[in-house]
Amino acid sequence: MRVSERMKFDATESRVNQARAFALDTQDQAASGRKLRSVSDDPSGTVRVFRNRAKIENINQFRRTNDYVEGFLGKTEDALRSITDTIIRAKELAVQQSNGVWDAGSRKTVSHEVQQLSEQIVQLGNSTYGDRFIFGGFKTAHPPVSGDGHYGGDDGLIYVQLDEDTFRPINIPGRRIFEIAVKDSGTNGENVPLLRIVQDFRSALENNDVDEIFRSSSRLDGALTQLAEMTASLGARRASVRDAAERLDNLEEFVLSDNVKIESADPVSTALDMKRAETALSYTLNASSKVLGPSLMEFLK
Amino acid sequence: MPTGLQHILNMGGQSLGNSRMGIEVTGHNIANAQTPGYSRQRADIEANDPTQYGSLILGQGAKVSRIARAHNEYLEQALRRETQNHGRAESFDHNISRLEGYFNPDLNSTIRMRLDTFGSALRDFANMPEEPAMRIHLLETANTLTTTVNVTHSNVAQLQNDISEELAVDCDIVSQKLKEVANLNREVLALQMGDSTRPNDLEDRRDMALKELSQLMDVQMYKDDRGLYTVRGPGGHLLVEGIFSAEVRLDYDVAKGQPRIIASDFANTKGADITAKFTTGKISGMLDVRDKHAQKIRDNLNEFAQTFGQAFNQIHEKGFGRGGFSDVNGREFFEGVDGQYEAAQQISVSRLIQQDTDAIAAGMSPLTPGDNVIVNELIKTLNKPMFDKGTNSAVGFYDNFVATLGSAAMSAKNELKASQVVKANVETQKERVSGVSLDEEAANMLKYQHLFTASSKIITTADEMFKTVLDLKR
Repeated sequence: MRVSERMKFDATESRVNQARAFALDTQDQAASGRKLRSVSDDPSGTVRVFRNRAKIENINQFRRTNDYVEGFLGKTEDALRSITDTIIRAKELAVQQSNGVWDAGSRKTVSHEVQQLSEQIVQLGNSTYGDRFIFGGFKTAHPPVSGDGHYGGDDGLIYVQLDEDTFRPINIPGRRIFEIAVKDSGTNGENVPLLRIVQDFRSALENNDVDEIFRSSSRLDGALTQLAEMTASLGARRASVRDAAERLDNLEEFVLSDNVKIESADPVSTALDMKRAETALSYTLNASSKVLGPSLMEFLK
Repeated sequence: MPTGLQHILNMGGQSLGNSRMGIEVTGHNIANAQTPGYSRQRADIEANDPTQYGSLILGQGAKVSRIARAHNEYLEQALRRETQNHGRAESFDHNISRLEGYFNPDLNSTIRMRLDTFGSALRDFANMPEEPAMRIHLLETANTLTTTVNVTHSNVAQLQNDISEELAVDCDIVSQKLKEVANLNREVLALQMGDSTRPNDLEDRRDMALKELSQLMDVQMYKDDRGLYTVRGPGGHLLVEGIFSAEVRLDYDVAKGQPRIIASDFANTKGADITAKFTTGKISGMLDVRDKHAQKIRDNLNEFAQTFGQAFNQIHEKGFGRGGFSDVNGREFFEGVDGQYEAAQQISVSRLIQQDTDAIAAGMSPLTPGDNVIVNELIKTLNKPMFDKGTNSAVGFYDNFVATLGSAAMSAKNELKASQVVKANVETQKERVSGVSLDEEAANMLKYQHLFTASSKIITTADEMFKTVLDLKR
């Protein structure tokens, strides 16, 4: 085979270039610690990385949401429990005062406590979390329970996204707490505001009206049942929020490790590659210096 | 009389000339050992016609019949073809890598990342729709998103412009090379007048010019009976015939979109649009990226901005805002997505919202600050299938076109590597035939030097014989 000058030089040049390119690539990989450096390195892997990154961003977001929802639900539960306690106290008083041993004087005294209880209910009904009135439905900017017990909010359920595909309501619209379905003859089948039940009880005490105290007692029972239902549904919601938080932790672990698999260079194999590149380069340079050496010209005298 | 001392002297003299010529050719070869496109030359020495002397046939020495170049037409053709493929693969890879760079997974400023952040801000807003800070945060992330879409669009458009500018330069080079081939045709014609000798170096230069042309574009050529090349370009367009050459230029006619490549005919200066006819060479690689891949990305970006923007607006328009906007709806969130212009270039958050974030709609019903029904619907648009005939979400669509681009860039890399290997192979084959080897030239030099010495010995011998003959008379 004829070997021309240009063949020798071109071949040497391309070999050295190849060795250098390989060395540079491994160096780059080692320095950045990444094997995914452009989309074309692994197009489908890149898309998976994109998706995983979006998931991680979302997971952080959902965590924040979760914390917020925990707080909101906690506050709601506290308020609900206190309202229940208040009604239980009222019910106790109703049972006690319906007994014939008490006279008008003592009932008058008790009516002061009931008055306080009713004020407490208004206060609890207008509880806030942050700047939001928690029982107002969508009308979160104004106190939903007015002094006369009228419910001023609406029936809006505030849904928030707990994870990729779960939207859950976080609030209990106050209507379900502050308007009680009463099953006696005093109404036309309409709901009675919770506050009015308490205030009616108070007037009954003031007026020493035992019949009315009896009726209040049974109405307070109705209210307690409704409150218990709400408390139970709230508990279920808190449990599902905690579940979602746990799912997020598991998902995050999986997504992070998947991304590492696609994106990151394996340090051991990178180190080996670097060593290989170094050896290849020095051998190539060594060999080149020999190949490019003297021609027959030098030996002719 | 054909024989005799005179004859020996002549033979010796001619042989001396032959070896001198041999050294000259060797010298020429050595001088051009590293000249690109140079073909090794050799002095073909052949015996002179013999003469009859009585019953004997006597040789008449040797002459240099011609100086030939070591050249293989078939290899030259193969090399041109591989140069074309390589030229195409190289420019395609170079340009598509630039395009790909705008969607690099290392970048945090890609549309994909901004979309994720925007989604996050929407969810924060859904959690606390009455909080003004959330509205401002949402506006800021929306602005970043639209700016990123605008920047990505302008990057792609800029790449297309850059390619067009480079094309203009390459068109000039093509025109020059065509003229060069036509000029070399003319010189070859002049040198060949009444003579069949082949002007080796001119042919080398013409081959080189054609190889450089092939690197840029489709070239087919054939040699006519006078040894002149006729060159046809993309789609068989006639580019060089005899001593005439066509001009290739770029036509910036904005109405037609991207600038077109026009090749003039010799007679008709208006020329023909050959843009779509390039199939190989550097120019076709650039055209492919500019008119197919970059344009596709640009179209996709526009579709992305328009479809997503409109779907987002459609929901947003149903909702009510806050403060002064708490009982009016019908406002769009994104502007510039009506499809009248390129949506990816035009998209921005509406001016009304820029001025007052209270205009952002959150609720389904008026005068309800805590209502987040609309925001939840807006969050769902991020994953709602609305692209590719309702089978793909916005992020899925984005992922798809980035992955498609990545695959194209990946196969471009592989193609480039393959074409490099093949081209280097053919180049080696050609060098094997046409290249200059210094060892060989050294041997030749020695060969001709010895021949020179021996020839001069013949002359001195003949000279001495003359003297002897002349001395007879003394």
